[in-house]
Amino acid sequence: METVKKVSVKQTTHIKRGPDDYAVAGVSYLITGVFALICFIPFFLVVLYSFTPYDLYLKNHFDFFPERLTLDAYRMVIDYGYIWTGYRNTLIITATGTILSMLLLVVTAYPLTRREMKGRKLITALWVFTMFFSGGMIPEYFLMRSLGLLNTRWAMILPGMLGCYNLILMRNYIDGLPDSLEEAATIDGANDLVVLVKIILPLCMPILATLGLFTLVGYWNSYFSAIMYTTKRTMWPLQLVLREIVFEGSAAEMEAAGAADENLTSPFLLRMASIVVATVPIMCVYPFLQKYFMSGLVLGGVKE
Amino acid sequence: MKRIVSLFLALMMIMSLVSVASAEERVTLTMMNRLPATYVVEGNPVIEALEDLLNVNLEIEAPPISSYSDRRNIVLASGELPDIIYVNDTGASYTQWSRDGLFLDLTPYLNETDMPNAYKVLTAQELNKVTVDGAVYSLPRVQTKPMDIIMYRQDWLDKLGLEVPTTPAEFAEVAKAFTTMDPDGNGVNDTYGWTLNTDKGEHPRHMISGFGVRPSDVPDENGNYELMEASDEYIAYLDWMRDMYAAGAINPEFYLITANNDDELWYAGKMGIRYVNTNVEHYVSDLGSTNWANPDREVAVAAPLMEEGQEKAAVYYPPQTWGNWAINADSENLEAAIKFLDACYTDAVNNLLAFGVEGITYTTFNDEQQYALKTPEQREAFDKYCATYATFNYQTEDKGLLIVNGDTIEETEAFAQANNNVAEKTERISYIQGSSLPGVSEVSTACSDEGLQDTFKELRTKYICGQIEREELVDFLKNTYAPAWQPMLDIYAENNLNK
Amino acid sequence: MAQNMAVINKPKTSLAKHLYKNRWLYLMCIPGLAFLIIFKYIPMYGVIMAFQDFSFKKGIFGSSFNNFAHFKQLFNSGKFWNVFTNSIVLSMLKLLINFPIPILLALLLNELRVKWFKKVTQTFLYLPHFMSWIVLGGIVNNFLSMNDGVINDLIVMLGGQKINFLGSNEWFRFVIIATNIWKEAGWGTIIYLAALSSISPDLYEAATVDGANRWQKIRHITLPGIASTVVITLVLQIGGLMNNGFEQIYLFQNDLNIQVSEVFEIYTYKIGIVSGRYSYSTAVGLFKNVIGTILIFSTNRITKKLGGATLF
Repeated sequence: METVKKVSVKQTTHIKRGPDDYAVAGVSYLITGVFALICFIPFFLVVLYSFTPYDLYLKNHFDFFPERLTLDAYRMVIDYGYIWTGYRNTLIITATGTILSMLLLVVTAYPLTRREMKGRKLITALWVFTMFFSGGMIPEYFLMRSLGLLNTRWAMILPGMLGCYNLILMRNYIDGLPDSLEEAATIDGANDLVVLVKIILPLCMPILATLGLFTLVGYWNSYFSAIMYTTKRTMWPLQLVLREIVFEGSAAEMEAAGAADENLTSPFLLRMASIVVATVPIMCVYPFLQKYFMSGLVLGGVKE
Repeated sequence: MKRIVSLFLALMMIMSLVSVASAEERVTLTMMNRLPATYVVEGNPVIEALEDLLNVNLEIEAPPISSYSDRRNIVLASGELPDIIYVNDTGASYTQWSRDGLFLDLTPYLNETDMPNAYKVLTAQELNKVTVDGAVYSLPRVQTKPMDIIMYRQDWLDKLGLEVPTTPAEFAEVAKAFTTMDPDGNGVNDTYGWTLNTDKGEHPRHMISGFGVRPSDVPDENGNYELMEASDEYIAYLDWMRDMYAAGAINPEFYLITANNDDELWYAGKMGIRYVNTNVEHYVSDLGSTNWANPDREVAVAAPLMEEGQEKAAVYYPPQTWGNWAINADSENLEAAIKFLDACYTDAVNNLLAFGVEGITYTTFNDEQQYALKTPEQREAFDKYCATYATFNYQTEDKGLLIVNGDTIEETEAFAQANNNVAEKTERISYIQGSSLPGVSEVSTACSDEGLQDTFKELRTKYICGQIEREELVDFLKNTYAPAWQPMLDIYAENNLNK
Repeated sequence: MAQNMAVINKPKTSLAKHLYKNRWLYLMCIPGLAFLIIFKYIPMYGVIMAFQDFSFKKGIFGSSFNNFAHFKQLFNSGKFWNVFTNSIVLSMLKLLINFPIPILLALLLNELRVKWFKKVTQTFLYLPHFMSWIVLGGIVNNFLSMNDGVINDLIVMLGGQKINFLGSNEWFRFVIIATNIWKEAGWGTIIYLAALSSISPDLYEAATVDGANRWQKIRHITLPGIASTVVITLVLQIGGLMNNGFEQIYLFQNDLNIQVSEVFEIYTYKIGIVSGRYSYSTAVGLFKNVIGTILIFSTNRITKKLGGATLF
């Protein structure tokens, strides 16, 4: 914590500002600000719509101050039987998956950065190959069956645990760290595992936070493995439950099923509410990770 | 700890007793069905009633409805099929699976002794839809009597002094009036007549019936087959659409409409005409719904358009089925599965699955008119325990329409009245679709591989929108599109389809 | 080259010596390799389906081979070149336009000094990533509609002509590119922000002392600092040149833009799922991936020659 403060103090006091600085700053604030506002529109509308009664939405899609608000959609989402098991499953899958994934990522990426490691190029190439070629659904199903993982949460955790993209970025990041640190430690007689845990890992916090966020979001949003590998509705993750709640089917099928909704709540409203229910928790995680993205943290810390 | 163990043992004993008692007589059948998210499988009193009625234990797998086909494909490839599987496909995939031998050939059982109920209920035309190489590999879920309807805003018609239209010319007049004469009286011309929704089918039967358009599967009086899209009648229909589009009477961006977006326009009071493919539920739910944005809305229900000078709208209907049921060819309980599936084609099971159990999901049930009256609490239970998705045979020939959504006598009577009016004005012409004839799927595959279907859709939409000239469309239809499909028509002719 | 003092029994051969000396490194490789083999390589036999008339009953090992029939059909198909061109043009545009934008955005974000502004801006930028295309598509339709879309109203107000963004071949690619930036550019900055965070502030300080101006600092410190990340993501992006994603294109496709919107994902979906030709769609996927592999391996070779960061 000490180091963080010092670094930020340095940044604000030591840098002198010239006219070009002000120009750059002005442009930066303008462009990021405008783009951020454009990016805020869909979320704003979704939240707004989720509280707007359907009749008011129909009258005017862009009425930002509807005369009445409603909680009907949220009530329906919460009333749905499998929503809580869905949350539970998703939390377990996301937490376990992200932690295991980060552990595996670090131990897999680190040896690939060491020159004395034989076959590291081959291993990397093998990983790159998997970006393009996969067996498809059927062999993967048979694999999970022979591993005895059908109808378990592991079936939703394991297959997505490590991907080539994250691995390459991780390896690349470790590669960019100064070699001197490792060499010093090796001379001190520390073995590679100790070097990894004591020296490399603390320096990797920004990239771990980044890739951790990617992985977390990936697990949070995943539902397809649940379709493939589970048969019980109580095993469904949140995203699958929500997909089901808002599923409308094709127009032709709606008519075949006679499923026209008699409820006050329209499927549209329900969809909006379900997005809020699914997105807000994951957005709450972000501020906790954000501090790791602060500029200059890492090497400022090393210097101490 | 001890207490938990003893409790556990006691429970185990009870459970084993129960299972022994029932296992002696009851076979357990596994089943995979496509059920909506709101449907509760575990502890569902309706399923329990069904188990008791047919003396079986059911183990139902209900994969996500939104991804049913993904799960079904994996199950079919896994070699571990349930005894009874809802296939939900009668097209190319189904043909492939049937030929691969995944499903039991039901042809030998479709007689009065083995499957008496299905044999009685299913017509040859309906079975034709699930026949592959002369054998029946699944039973269709049938909707025998749905009727296409067109809904009009009665209050708009009244305001403009117009009548409910019956012919294309009258229809176009009303649609144009809805566009230009400000029927909602808000001082702005912000409404239009109607919108096409190709998600509901490429060519709405409601409209083409007004031009005497004949499906490609049906020959003319001389026994000649003609590709529907290239016929003069169909082009006349497109001319009519183009004329309405130019007048602004069709949603100018109809090509963006998917799923049920057209309903939203209807509810929002943006358009005054809406066509629906089956009136089974929509009319009732339309009346019963809160009339969302337009509390004063009144709705008139009418039959499809009819040709000038005709008394009735002649509408061509292929067999109306919705999904199909197959039995695993390698099932260990073949006999029980056949018996069970057949029993599900009785009215008793059909009513049970569609309406539920008296006292729990309804108060009174009218078998003749097929509706059930419900209190609000029963309605809630009904939404959990019943679904049209759960039925095996949706409707049967000798019964009326299922009126699942009508909860009160007023609602159901209003619906029955509207239904009768439409029925009086509609002449149903049933025909068999040739798509399952051998060789036809190859023709359609070739056409889509060459991109002809895409070009057709593009030119048709461009023509309606006034972006291309008539010659270009007609030239494509007559000289490129029709010849590409000719092999299919030849197959129809060889098989004397619908003669 | 430091000697490991802990070694007591020195192994005899040099390989064993090497392995023993680096035992921790090799041990670390085991979980990753096991994962790679079990979850990635064992199921890979599924690729065989592309060369078969796949039968659900017989499975992958029992189905008969069909002498590359699917590939012959693909290359002879009248639609193949249309689909191929559409896919390549669209993803090239994405490479040219959508690839640099997150980098620029990250550089701009890096210039922000007001903390709350930076935090709020970043959070807002990530929001669209969490919305599904179906929701964004609905909103885009409302905005771009010819009927009462806000954008077209604005164009008319400024004296322009209404533009049919959604229903024309000419504007389809624009809409795809623009909405893609909207949804993913903000999220794409994260990886570059992480790279930026590893640049030591000391460098900037030293440069300031040396009298470097803002541009010089960006050119000589910031850009070299993120160069390897940029190169790596670029190489990966080029490997995905045949991919355009399914959902977005499917959502924006309609009868009036079908000539430019039919890309491999859509084609495979229509052919494979709708008409039930599973092995055919596997074959199309395989073709796509072979091209992707060739692209990524050759790009990697080029970056190696140029002395930049490489994948392997």
